[in-house]
Amino acid sequence: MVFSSLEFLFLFLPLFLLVYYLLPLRGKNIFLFLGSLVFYGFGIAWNIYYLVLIIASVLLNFLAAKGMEHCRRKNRIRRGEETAGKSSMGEKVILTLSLCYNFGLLLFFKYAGFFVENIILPIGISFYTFQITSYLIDVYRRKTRPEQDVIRLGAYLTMFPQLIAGPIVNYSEVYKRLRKRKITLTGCNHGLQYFTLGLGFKVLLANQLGNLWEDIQTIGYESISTPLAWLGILAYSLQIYFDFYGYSLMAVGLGKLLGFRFPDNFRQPYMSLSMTEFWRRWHITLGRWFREYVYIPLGGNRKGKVRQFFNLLIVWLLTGFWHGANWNFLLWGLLLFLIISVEKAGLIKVLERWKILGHLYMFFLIPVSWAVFAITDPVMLQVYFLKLFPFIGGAGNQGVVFSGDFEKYIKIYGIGLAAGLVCCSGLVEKIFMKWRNKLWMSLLLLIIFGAAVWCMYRGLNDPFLYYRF
Amino acid sequence: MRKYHYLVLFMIGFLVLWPFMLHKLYIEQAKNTETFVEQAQAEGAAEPESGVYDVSGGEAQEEENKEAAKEGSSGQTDAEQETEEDTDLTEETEEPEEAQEDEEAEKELEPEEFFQDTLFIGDSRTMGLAEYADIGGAVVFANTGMNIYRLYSLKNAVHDQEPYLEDILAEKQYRKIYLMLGINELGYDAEQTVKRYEEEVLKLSELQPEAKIVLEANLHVTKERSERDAIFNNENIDRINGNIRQIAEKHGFSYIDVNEIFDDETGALNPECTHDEVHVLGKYYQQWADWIRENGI
Repeated sequence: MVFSSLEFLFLFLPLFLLVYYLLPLRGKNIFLFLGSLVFYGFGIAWNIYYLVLIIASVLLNFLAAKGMEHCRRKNRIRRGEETAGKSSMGEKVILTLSLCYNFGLLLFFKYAGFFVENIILPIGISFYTFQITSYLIDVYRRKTRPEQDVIRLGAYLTMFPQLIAGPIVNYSEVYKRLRKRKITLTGCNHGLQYFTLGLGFKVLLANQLGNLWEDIQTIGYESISTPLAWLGILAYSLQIYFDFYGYSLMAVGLGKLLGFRFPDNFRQPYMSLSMTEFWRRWHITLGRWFREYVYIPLGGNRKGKVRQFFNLLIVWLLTGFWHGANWNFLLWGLLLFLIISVEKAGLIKVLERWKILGHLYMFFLIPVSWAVFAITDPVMLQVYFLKLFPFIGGAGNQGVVFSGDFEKYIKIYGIGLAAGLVCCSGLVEKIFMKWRNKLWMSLLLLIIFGAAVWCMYRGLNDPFLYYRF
Repeated sequence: MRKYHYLVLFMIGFLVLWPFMLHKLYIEQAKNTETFVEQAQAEGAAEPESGVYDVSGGEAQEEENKEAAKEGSSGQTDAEQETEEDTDLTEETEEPEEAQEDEEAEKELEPEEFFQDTLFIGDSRTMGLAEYADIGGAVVFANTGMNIYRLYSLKNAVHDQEPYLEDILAEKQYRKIYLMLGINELGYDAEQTVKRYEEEVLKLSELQPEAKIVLEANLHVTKERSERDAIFNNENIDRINGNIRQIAEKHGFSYIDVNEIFDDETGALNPECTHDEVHVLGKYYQQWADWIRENGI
């Protein structure tokens, strides 16, 4: 059940909120946990094993954190105060085992598809695995206290706004609000505004632009012209952004409706001047996770240049891996590693000095890197790249090409593409933030909401693009 | 109050929309179960109201479906019609002699002359043919979602061609007219569609008396698509193709079935030839055109 579906918007959400608002705090947490499991149940077509899996994840990790706490306390009693702050053997064992369990399952589901057919990745496992491991590691590092109430931990992990596509919320970010939260009319007002904006991005922009990418696949990469190849990958770049950004905004908005504050996941990434900057502004909570739990523990940039590049390589290969079990995601991670390494070696100074150059550079690299991301078949990827860069070689250009294709598709999608490009600039957010309490802004948002609902009603809606990961 | 504008407006809007959306969800739910039952019975009799989405686009079709449903509510039941067709199909298999003579004359034409003074009429598949195959000299009238009910009201979407069929037909006398329609009509009442198809073909031959009219069987969809779709499935496509064939035989038109080059062993569109399970990839349209040439029809 995606947020941009009628079932969610007109059935699940109103019924959920109606009960949720009437309950006292403890009841709210229980209901949030249960309601999220119902939400998840719809997403996995009531596959009972996947439901057991997520509940087991809550229970086991709850016990693991408690176990670590227990070891720590015993250790302190036995060894006295001087060892306080140091991790005992028991804590290490528990952490290792539980991390093995969490990542083992993730790996199993991501890669089992190679060996056994008909294994479908349980929705959201990439996200909830990262979230729960961040909790465990934070407990181990004493950055957060172990949760004493399994309901609260369950509510944290399964909370439906962020369950299937992030943002990857750290436990410390919701710790307080799980215990005490005030739901105010202002908060709800803002929540609805964010939600509407996200819904508009998703339904009115991403879905429509996605059709162009779909059209190109229907034609087949062999039969598209070079201009159409560029137009297509531009459309894909805009689609993946508004899809994911829209979804994250909806999550933030829903969070506000429930009384939580989630971290931002995007900050106009397409306005970045370098790939390094891009990945600080794109899927921020994922980058943060890799930095905090992989890059820095590996030594970050404190162990010399060579080691730093090695650490970067690990992070980017893992990032590629995380996105999917296909070789092209590894290639994509590798490509990002190379680009970011070159930037670190000095290019970034040039790009940041001459901003126009930086924008042009990113305007070229963003679609190219998404092409590697989007096309999972190596042969097809090659065909597409020969279309993008026909001067490389003629092998892929033998097919019949409809010479009017660019003209045809720009006529259909031109307005959507232009709107997408404008919305990338952050202009929409600026206008929104400045006048969000004005009546006309509310009316505008209401129109956006109406238009999105109309599209959904007419069945022009697509399944959420990022669902697979 | 100023701070809660949106909250208030949203609530009002939401409450207004709510009953409609719940109704829609209820209908969808009912339709899903209906689809399930239909598939289980392997019947596939198309309900006009359930043709909400269109294989090849065409947004305004839903309304059209309902209109057509009103028009074609009388007549015999689908089941009766079905048995009638089956017997007809087994009886008549040979082409009329006249048509064979024509074919031989066509075979003598040079490949580049083959499609001269030819008109193609069709939906998005025929559009693909116009865009991705070399059918030098042919005029094409096609659009996504084109159907037999809207032949004269829908605009031509093919590059550099006259917008309306009326003008295209008035422009000149064609030698050959190929017609591939029928899949977008699957959501309509089947009997009504066949009747209308026959009328439109006769009208065509009246307007273009010298033209040889070639009725094309509709391309199949993939097995996977066919199995999950209560309307746009191969069973229904085969049924309408059978009807088209009967019309061809009845009035002495030619009938061709290009499915043989794109079908897999199960008699469905080969999944390797398509991405969206409905249209063949751009690179395959040339095969279709070549097939027509080689068969000399």
